[in-house]
Amino acid sequence: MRETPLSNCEREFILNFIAQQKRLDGRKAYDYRDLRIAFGVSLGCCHVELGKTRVLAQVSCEVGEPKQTRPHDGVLYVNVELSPMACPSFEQGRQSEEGIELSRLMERCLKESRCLDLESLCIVSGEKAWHLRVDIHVLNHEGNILDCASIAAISALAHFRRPDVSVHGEEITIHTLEERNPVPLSLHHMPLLVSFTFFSQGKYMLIDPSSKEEKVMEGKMVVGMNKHRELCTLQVTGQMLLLKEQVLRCSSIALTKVTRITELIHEALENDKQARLKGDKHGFAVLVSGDKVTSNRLPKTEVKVDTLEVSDDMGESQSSEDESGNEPMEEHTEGVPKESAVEILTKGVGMIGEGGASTWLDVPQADTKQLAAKKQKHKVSKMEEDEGSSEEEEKVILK
Amino acid sequence: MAAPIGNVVIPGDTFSLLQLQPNDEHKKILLGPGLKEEEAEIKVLRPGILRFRKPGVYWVDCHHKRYIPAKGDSVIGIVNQKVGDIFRVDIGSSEQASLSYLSFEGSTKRNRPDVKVGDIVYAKLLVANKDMEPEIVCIDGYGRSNGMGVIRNGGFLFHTSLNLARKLLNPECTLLKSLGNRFQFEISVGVNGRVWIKAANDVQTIALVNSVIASEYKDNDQIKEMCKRISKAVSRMEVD
Amino acid sequence: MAAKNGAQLSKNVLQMKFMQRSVLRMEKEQNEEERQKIIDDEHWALDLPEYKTKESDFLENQSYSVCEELLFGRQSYQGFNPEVEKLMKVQNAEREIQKTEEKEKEESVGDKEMAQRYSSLMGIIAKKFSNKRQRQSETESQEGEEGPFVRKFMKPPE
Repeated sequence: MRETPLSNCEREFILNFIAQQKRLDGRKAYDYRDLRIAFGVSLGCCHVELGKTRVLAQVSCEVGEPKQTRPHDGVLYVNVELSPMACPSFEQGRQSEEGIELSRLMERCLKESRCLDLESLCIVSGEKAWHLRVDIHVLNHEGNILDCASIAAISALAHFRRPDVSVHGEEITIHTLEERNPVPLSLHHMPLLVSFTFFSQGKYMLIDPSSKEEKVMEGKMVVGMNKHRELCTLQVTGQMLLLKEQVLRCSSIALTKVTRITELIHEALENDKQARLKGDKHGFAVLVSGDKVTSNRLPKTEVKVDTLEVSDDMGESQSSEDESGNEPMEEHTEGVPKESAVEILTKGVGMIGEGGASTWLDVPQADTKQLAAKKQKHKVSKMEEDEGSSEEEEKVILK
Repeated sequence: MAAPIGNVVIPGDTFSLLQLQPNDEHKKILLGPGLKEEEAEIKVLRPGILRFRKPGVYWVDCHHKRYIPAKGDSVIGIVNQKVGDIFRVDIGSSEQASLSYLSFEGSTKRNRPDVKVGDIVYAKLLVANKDMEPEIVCIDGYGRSNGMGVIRNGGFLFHTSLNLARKLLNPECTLLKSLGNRFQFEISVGVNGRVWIKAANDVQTIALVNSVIASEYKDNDQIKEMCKRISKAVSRMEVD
Repeated sequence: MAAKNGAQLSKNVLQMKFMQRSVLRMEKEQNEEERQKIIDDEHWALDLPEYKTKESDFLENQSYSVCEELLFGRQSYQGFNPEVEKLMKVQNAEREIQKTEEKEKEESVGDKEMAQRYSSLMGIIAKKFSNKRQRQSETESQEGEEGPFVRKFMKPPE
């Protein structure tokens, strides 16, 4: 199906706005949207939400012959699926140019960075080896699929466990999950892709573009990096010329982003592990109870007008909220995780996080607890009590 | 049993004529979207809430994102292509609409209207049949533009659900009025879920865009409250 | 042709021997015409039992704007776009007028009622201005028209 064309007035407006160093959704130039990482019940299944962009990655494995050229190595396949579900303009079956670029970049990021120890996947040299397959399904396209997909893929690989294998002479036994604990893959490092978009001959640069920003961008640079400051991939597309300083600046920004995201992935992995050990609810089940993956939830607005507070007279607006504003507001913010109740300083250009370039603003814990407590008082809490704890475990929010 | 006005109906539900409100005069009952007459019965085609308006209008109100063309609707389209003497315009329906260059105010064969690809037009649907290309025009029956035509001079276009667009145009919705009391702006709403807003500056425009998006599930009191907050925030911002 | 020229030849003339050829020709022509007519009818009208087109009680309209009586989509506030604002004013005024008209219709007396009332009133007022004799003659003439069911005034027996 045909994509909705971008009108001239949208294009002009967005470019104008960027020239004023502002973004439509109130972010700063170097801000990511809210990032949520959740794991499925099965091992190696990861669901990542970046704003409204959603990607699901699933890792699977089977035993097969290794490649002739590399008889001592296992094989890793990467497959990116762009279905019309994500965006009506994607066609089923046929790989679009965009799709090819995406899967190629993902392959380069995961394979050529040698983050995965393929030798450990070999069972019998030249005869049997594990074939790993990472299927990346884009569920919703709201811009920057690439970063989202790379986070999902690497998290899924880190989450995945393959069945244990024992070799006695000629005999190879693949143990079921009940017989022996499955073995994690040996990941050396976590390469992540960070895309930078450029406007007006590289004059303005934005991180994590939304779909509209992607439509008006002039060019894009993708930096693949791990937290050890090792550059894994670098790709520049579009018609623009970049200065050396810009590339260096991008890579240093990418480093801070990658470090933070890697931390978040580890945190999410750890939380999932703990939940599994304790036998708590884990996987998508948690999301369903919290109305996080059902389509019936109230759609989230990009800029939360309800939490709008003018910084100067905070006391005043808060008191009025307690009396009247709170009750009706609760209905509407329900389903929106409380941690994301960002204090937007001013409307329109209200920013998420007040830090300058590439700093991260952690949500103060006290605030969220206060909010949760407030909610209980108002007796609107449906899932909030168990949410309050499980959400922090399951989801990590990045601002 | 009367027809369940205000309640949820599901495709396949049927009503007989008797279940509808008796209409005193010999006016016909108007069946709106989601209802169809079949063998002296009314069948429901879409899931949603059954609505009624005097004297005898019934329709089903359901949540839509994809626009289905209907004759007489006012829509905002994006000009996508020039083919000979017609423009192909994207109005959000499954098929692109055609717009003749003659159906602008004051245009003749010699005097073509100045429309470029990517421009947005406010137009009315003249032909909207199933399985047929919809046709839109930018003039009324007397050849006057009547507010239709190309929308120029900047502003910002965004897409909403069809319900929100209808809500904005509902005479009972206070959003535009209460925003109008606080801001100086211009808005164009197409029932195909496209809204164009232009205000004095970009910051105000974005503020208005966000308040429109945020108002989808708010009632009139909440909307008033929100407008108050937004105008406060914007005025503070402009002072800074 | 004889027939077309309107001068019909008489039967007697046609029976004459020298006219036989033109008689044949005329017959042929007539047959042809009839056949053509039959063919034409067959082609253009399907011979089906007549449809009973019962008038439907419903009108269908797929537009939400009609059903919900939506406002015009272009609006401007505080004089941002005077052109649109002017248009808005005109349309609002029209809407207002329509509303008040509807209200009036609901509250005031309907046309039919008015007519009925007026016609009955007319008789009464007319009576007022006519004298006794006129009235009498009027009733008499009416009675005469109304046939056998009308009671007649009988003189009381002496």
